[in-house]
Amino acid sequence: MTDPDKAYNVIDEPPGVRTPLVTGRHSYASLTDTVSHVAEMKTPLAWYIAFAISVFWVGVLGVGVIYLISTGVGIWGHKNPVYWGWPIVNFVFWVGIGHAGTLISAILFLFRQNWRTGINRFAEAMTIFAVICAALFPGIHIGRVWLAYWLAPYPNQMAMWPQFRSPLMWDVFAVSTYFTVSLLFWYMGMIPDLATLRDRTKSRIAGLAYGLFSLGWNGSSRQWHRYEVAYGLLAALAAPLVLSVHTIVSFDFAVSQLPGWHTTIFPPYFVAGAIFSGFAMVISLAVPARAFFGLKDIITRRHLENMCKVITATGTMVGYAYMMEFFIAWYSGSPYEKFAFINRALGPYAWAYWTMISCNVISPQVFWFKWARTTPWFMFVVSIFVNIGMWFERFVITVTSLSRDFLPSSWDYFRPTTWDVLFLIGSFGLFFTLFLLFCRFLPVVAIAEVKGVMAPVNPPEHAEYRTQLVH
Amino acid sequence: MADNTTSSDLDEDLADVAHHKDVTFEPRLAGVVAEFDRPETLIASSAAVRDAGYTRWDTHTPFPVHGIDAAMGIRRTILPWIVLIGGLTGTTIAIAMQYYMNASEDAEFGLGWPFAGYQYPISGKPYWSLPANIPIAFELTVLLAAFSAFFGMIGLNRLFRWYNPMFKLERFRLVTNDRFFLAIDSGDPKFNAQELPGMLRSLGATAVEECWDDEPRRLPSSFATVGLVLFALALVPPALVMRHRSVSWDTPEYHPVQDMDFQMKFKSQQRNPFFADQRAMRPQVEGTIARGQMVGDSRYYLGTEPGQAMASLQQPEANADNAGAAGSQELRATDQAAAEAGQTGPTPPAGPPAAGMNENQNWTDEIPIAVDERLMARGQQKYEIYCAPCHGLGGYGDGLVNRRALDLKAPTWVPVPSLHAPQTRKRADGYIYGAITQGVRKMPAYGSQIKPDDRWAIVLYVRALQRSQGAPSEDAGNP
Ligand code: HEC
Repeated sequence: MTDPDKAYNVIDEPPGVRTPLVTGRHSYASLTDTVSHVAEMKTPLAWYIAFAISVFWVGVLGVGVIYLISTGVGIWGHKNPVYWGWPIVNFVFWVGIGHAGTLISAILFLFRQNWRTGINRFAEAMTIFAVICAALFPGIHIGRVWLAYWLAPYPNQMAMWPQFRSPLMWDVFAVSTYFTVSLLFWYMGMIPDLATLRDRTKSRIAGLAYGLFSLGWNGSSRQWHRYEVAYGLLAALAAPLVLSVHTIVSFDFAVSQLPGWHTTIFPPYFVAGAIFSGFAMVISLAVPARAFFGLKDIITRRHLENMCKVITATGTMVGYAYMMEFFIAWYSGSPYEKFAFINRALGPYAWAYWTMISCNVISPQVFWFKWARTTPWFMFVVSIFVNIGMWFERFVITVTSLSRDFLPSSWDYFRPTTWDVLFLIGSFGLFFTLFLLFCRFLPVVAIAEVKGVMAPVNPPEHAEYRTQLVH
Repeated sequence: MADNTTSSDLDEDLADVAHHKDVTFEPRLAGVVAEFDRPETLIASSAAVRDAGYTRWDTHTPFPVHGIDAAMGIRRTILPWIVLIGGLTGTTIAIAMQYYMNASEDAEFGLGWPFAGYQYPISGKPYWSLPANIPIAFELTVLLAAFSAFFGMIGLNRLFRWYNPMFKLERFRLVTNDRFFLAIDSGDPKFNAQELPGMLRSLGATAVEECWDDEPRRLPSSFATVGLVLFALALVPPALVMRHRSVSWDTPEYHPVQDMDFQMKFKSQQRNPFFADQRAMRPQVEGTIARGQMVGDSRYYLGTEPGQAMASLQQPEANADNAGAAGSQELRATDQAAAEAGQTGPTPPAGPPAAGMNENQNWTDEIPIAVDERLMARGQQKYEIYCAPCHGLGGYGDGLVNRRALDLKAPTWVPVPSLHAPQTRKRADGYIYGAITQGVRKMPAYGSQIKPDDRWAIVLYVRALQRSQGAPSEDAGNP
């Protein structure tokens, strides 16, 4: 079998004609086989190894959480004046990652970008797992974890209600709504594909599980009709939702009065950054996964190329925001603002700031070159840089402003503890554990959706479908 | 399955099932299923089946085939309306919730019972400022709309029904892969099991099968029993929790989480070996004067001439504080006695004084602070706040509280006397001051609420009131 990456030679793509969304002369049945194979094949050894490593880190995370709860947040590097350290950095980082999934599944759907079908299931799964990792951090950061239910507005003998004018409260609502809606969206998209796995499996237990979760789906056209309407509505709801979530996360900073946080550019800038980091994460996951699971026909180089373009666009927006922050700091005439930004770029955290600039602003510019955005291994490397850069962005924002506030006598240099580092790695362990389970047991590509946009080789009359897509 | 099973096989199967599950039922022809290999043929056949007048039928496809809705005549779903209602409900709940929990206690905004909720003062921000409430309103709108979309779809599609007789057809498994099906239900008025296969084949079906439903229609009877038992068991934990919460316990509370309940410190009645007398609560250092207990100048603080034995009056404010609590029981006792004796009217009831000052003291008859117009104005203001509710603005004892108590014929109420009564006019200034500070007979003490300067201001104002009523004629000519 020829390597689909080679067969589809993007560089020679004639102008005005787009390469098909599914390459490699697939019929409906062979497509079903290719995707289902991922969930049906004998578990490969590499999967076990990767899973063991991930689960090990989940274990470390678990020990960390128990230690944290029994001892207190002092095990982290938090001390005066930096009380928002790594946990919040990690929280914002993971929530941001999640955004690409919803963007792909909802916003591209509304814009009728059919190429999304190859990667949306993947990206949505990533969203959900990233939001789980994100939600972990504020959850354990609140100190007395066992009182976390005080965040909920429920009648109680203390006559104590949440304070709805606080951005932190908005955050609770935004993140939990985001998680719930993403889960519904993801699960609903999966029902027909779960039915596919149900109808193919030979195992009783798998049949029962897939049967249970596919809810008796039988592909009825009357059901499809309502299903598509519901899907469109969910997409229309998820699109503004995803924008609201990172906006509200940015309010956690912007609504406070700390120089460097108190800026109106934060909401759009955070959203752009979130999409930027999320697409990088999709590439980091998709490039190895498509090679490993033989999905190169479905997640084609065209998909990867499109994502690289999004990365360059959002990366440039983020770069613009960094510049704008400096401009406004100067233009505002506020000495504190000016100091905050000069301190960011030239102060004790200059190393972090310039790491961020080179990863976020400079590295994605390589995708202006066609070679760079069509070569999977290369974009994988760049995507890792972007991930690192985006983590540092949150670090720079959170820590530089706090460590040098209005009162020079309380200035201090923030240092993370070993536990800070272990929690971050542990959250990656959790993310990959969930992701590996997803790859093993669930349909990794939206089979039914891809069938709707593909040009099957058989029956042959469908060949003209491809030309239809072009226009 | 039904198609290629001989009848004897079927009978055996059924006998088997019937034997095990102890349920009797008949296999039933559920419908006829035709298979197509292309979406185009399916669309064309759908139009034909619809034109032929069938009503209870459906097509089944691996992905949504575009154009089939029109061919089948599927009407647009009402789902968007459900979602709209869900979303609006979310907005309403969010706004009402935030209003109730953070902003509704105030009279300015409050709608009164039952909408009077709570108020949350946060750094002087307005209680109700819509922009701050929009994020949560938005999130709940989306959340409830999304729930309506999802569960609305599940509900309208009856996706909670896992079973379908078509799942028994081996062939039908391909419906989620690459085949297209058209199924006509046996309940259709035009259903004819003999003619349908031929017709469907002529439309281009690659295969036609009968679909038999051989599952019992009823749940096995054990389901109900098991369900009931489970339900009853599920009630046990909440019942235990409720009981636990409503019963009083003499064993100490179980403390899984320490919070700050146990602290390394001494409480007042504990032993502290550090001190020679081992008392954790230390006595005051000699010569300490607690706040508000500075009564050195007896004229100013007590209203009495100096030299009086002050033993019982050393802490006027503490006395005043206690008057309500300590005196209240005695009060009730005397009131009852008074009520039984049928005593009403302005004369104070007999018996020991319930609270308040010792009336026979060497009261001072001068106001010990500088008297000027400002003091008078202050006195009027304080009198109207503290005294007028009972004694009335003019001092005639016709305050609102008194009138209402008399209207209600409250049995324990002693009518408020007029401050213009001859004996009261004759009282020394210090007496009135003492009445305010320590209370007099049934009148409670106000010493804890009114500062000495203000008490004297009130005395001055009461004096002015008294003089203004029934003033001697020589006052009239002297403006
Ligand atoms: C709760 C209602 C109430 C309020 C408020 C009140 N009084 Fe009285 N006052 C009474 C009653 C009742 C008596 C009669 C007590 C009795 O005879 O048992 C009384 C008696 C008095 C007397 C004693 C009259 C006498 O000749 O013995 C004076 C003086 C007096 N009040 C002054 C005041 C002043 C000054 C204030 C404002 C600080 C005040 N009162 C507030 C209810 C009130």
